[in-house]
Amino acid sequence: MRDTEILDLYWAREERAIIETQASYGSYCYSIAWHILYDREDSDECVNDTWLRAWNAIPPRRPGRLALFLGTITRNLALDRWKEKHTMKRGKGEMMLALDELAECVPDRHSTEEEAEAAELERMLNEFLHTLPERECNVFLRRYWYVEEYGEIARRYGMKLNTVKTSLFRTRAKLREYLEREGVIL
Amino acid sequence: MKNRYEEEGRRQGALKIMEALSGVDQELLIRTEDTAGSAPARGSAGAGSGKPNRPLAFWKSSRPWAALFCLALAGALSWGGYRMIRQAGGDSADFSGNSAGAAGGIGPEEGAAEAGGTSPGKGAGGISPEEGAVEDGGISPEEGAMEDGGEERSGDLAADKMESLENSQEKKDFPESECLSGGEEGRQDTDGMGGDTVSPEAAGGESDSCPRINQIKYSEEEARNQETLGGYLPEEIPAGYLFESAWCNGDIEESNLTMVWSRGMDSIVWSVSIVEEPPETVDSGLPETYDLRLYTVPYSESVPAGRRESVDNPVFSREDLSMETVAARMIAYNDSGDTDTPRGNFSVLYPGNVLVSFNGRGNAEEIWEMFSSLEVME
Repeated sequence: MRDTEILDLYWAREERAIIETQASYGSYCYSIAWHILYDREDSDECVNDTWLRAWNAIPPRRPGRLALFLGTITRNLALDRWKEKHTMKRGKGEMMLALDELAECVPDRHSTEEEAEAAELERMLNEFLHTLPERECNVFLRRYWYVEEYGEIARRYGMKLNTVKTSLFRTRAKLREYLEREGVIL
Repeated sequence: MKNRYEEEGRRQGALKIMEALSGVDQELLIRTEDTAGSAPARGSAGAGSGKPNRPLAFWKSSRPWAALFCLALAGALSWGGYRMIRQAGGDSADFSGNSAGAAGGIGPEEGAAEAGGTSPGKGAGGISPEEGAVEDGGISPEEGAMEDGGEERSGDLAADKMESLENSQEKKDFPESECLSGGEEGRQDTDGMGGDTVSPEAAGGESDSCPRINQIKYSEEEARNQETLGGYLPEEIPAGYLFESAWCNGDIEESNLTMVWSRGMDSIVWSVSIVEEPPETVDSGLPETYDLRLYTVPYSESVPAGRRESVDNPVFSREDLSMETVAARMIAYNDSGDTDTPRGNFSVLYPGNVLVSFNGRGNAEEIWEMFSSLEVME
């Protein structure tokens, strides 16, 4: 089914929209989540949450590229879940509880400063990526947006594994230099 | 402790970049699909598919050959000119013995190095001359070294080696039994098995180039099912690592089996062999013979000459292997451009002269768990 038809189903509030989305983009979204989480159960949950988010967002939204719209949601959900798991791994019990309690005393930066910083970083990354040669940019995004393995990227673009590694190494160095030049502190 | 905070801080920064990338322009993401080549196997993150960039790939792969051809042509022309001048000068000396040196004597490595600016000997961790020449184009040796962390024992080097080995494997196969029975037989039969196998001499007179490695490649399951040696492969693998390859090297007389796992830039190479003469094991009561934490980088300056061999690659007896000895070998290095995962190497000698060699990355707990999960430990 074409994207426009799927979007029409969403706008008509027909639940078949979810089924069609799953059929068209299920494996795509699952793959994004899997590359970040490496866990079948978590990846499945992320994909299901993606459908829910999409259901709530469309309408009013009508994304131009449904795949990227869904993929971005999945990616954000997977990153959140990864952070959650990562934090859980640090320790359980009273220590974590105590830290959570203390966290209430930390001034909340999220509402203003942090969001502004994130938006600025987003803008700068876009600017940086636009300065890169197309192939270098593609390799970078495949690695750090889709979190694909080197081998997958090499196969995708008909490159040697080492060439992919070298390209990424150079791009990371450029990004570091760019961020330093822009005075970004992370 | 400070390092740990720094590490955590860097990771948080990296995570922020990861999150910020979610807002990347859609046109850039679409572009990654549009120029995509053959889509990876099922489950890959690609909503679209395209055709591989064959002209570019062809151009890249053909550059070294084009350079070789040009050099050969230039050599032939200059030799012809030289002869003409000598003949015109009345010199009747016979130069026929040198003709090969003018044209045919230029090896592929030289041609490729000329074209790509890559020295054939750069081998940042075992890249064969052929591979380095064809693949890296204009990459300088320094860059290759930085990419790999600049440390000889780096696990990343193994990945490069693996690729080199795999490339050679694609061109050469031979029966499994020969690998286990000994290297000489394997070498002799290699040409007979693989239709596309070419001896080094036949491949253009490169008798001095690296000989190909006789390998049998295994799937993970096949490797684990190998009699005796399969039992020395760990059941537990550090989180995130995925099976990459397994093989038996037919050039080694002794029975052997190697398995590789990778996790992004990190890799683990696990080799098992039955050795005829067991190597000398270190005494776990003498940490100065194996504990890298006692020494500073560069080790060539801090490790006394008499202890270099054991400190470089200590062999522990099974009884001496412990969490503490593993921790003594897994060290995190603060190398620019490298991952911060601890890395290290050591070997363990088991009864029956079975030697398990580890070289890779992971924290000490993970590596200790790998060794603890061996069937033979149960």
